[in-house]
Amino acid sequence: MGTPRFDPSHSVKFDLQRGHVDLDGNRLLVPAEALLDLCRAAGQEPLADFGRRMGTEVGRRVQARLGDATGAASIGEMVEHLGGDVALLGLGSLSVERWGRALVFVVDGSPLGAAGDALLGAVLEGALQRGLGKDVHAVLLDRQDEQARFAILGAAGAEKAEAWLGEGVRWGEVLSRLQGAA
Amino acid sequence: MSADQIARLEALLARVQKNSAQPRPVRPALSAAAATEPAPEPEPAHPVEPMLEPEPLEPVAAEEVAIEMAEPEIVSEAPAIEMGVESIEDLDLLDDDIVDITDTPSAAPEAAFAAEEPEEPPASSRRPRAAANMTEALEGVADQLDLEGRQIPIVTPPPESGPQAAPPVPPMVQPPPPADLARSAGMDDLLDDQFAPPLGGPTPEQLGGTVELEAGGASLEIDEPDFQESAPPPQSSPRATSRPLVAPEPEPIEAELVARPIPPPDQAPAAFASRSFRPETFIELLEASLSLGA
Repeated sequence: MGTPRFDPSHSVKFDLQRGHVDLDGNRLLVPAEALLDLCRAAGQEPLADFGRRMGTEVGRRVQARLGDATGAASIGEMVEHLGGDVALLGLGSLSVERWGRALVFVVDGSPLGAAGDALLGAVLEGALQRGLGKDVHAVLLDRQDEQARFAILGAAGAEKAEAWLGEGVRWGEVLSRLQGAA
Repeated sequence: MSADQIARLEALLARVQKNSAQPRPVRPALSAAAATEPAPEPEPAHPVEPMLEPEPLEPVAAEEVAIEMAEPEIVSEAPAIEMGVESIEDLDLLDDDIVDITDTPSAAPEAAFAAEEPEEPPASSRRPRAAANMTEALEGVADQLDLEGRQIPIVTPPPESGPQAAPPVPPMVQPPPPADLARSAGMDDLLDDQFAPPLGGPTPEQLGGTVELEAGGASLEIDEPDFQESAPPPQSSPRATSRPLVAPEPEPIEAELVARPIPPPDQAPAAFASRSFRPETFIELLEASLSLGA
């Protein structure tokens, strides 16, 4: 049994008569700048909760489409579904890099910019937790222009990585050290 | 002036005065019926407010207006009558201005005209007369040209711009190929040229030989490339060398794969190359990544 393809047809419905936007439930189209202002005022913990809540919706949709095939999905298939749902939220283009044993998510073209990296990381965490049942930590490794790179690590690995990044270690070296520490 | 003529003039004057005294027909007044017609009642500007409705004009007032309009017509007729009377009364008839057309012409002028010799028309007064037919026209032209001393045949020769022999068409020759393709005689040669050494390289005779360098004194041996060893197909049919005309059906569009080996700004760690980890599923990669740093 093959994995179903991601089909965004009729995913988002605009009911202009009632003034509703539907994506498996009511959605709001809000300006990115206004959302950023709200996130700045909310603080880190509420922002993380808000992002994980958004990611939970993504993971739920992915799990609903893949069903039992979620565990057998290849890297490309999973990125196709995860990236498709992230794109439907308007958060940018999602791709995956694999550095040895390290899983790295790359989000390109997010309208939130660098100020929204914390929100993006929380969205990824919530999506993987809800879709695959794994508690993960998305650690921001690097940002160049419109491209943000997140390492998906466990709690111990995330703590070490953040510590090294705080010391000024480049993200490539951080990944290398993680490989050696494993 | 004789008494007879005076009597005639007086009779003419009396007849003119008599005719002028007769009344002339008066023109009808302009649009009398329309002028006497009552003006249309204006519609109220605001039907909701009947108090502001103006009162309609009385038909009598319209008749008065019509009478006033008719008066200029009457005035305009009066000067015509007065002018007729004044023109006759003030007419100053002089004997010198009266020409009696009833008089019989005298014979003296006719004699004077008869005595004169008819003048020849000037040269410029000769008007060209349209020829009756083509022959007459050609003869007229010939006569005129004879007077000028030119000799042309009467019958115009046929024009020389008739059917002519078309110039020879140059044979269609294929233009010479460009310089870089001059050595290629066909498609097979063209394909073979893709594997030929670049221009300026060693010739086939130089391949395998030893070239002595002037400066360093070291010798350089040029190996024959591998593509020279493979003999070209002896006779390749056009079907074998030409591309298929029917394009293959496009494959369904798929999402690009994810793993993009972009090296980080700092050099990729060498530890990544030695790893032989090849996850087949996403969950396998995720679990491996979660185990890092533990």
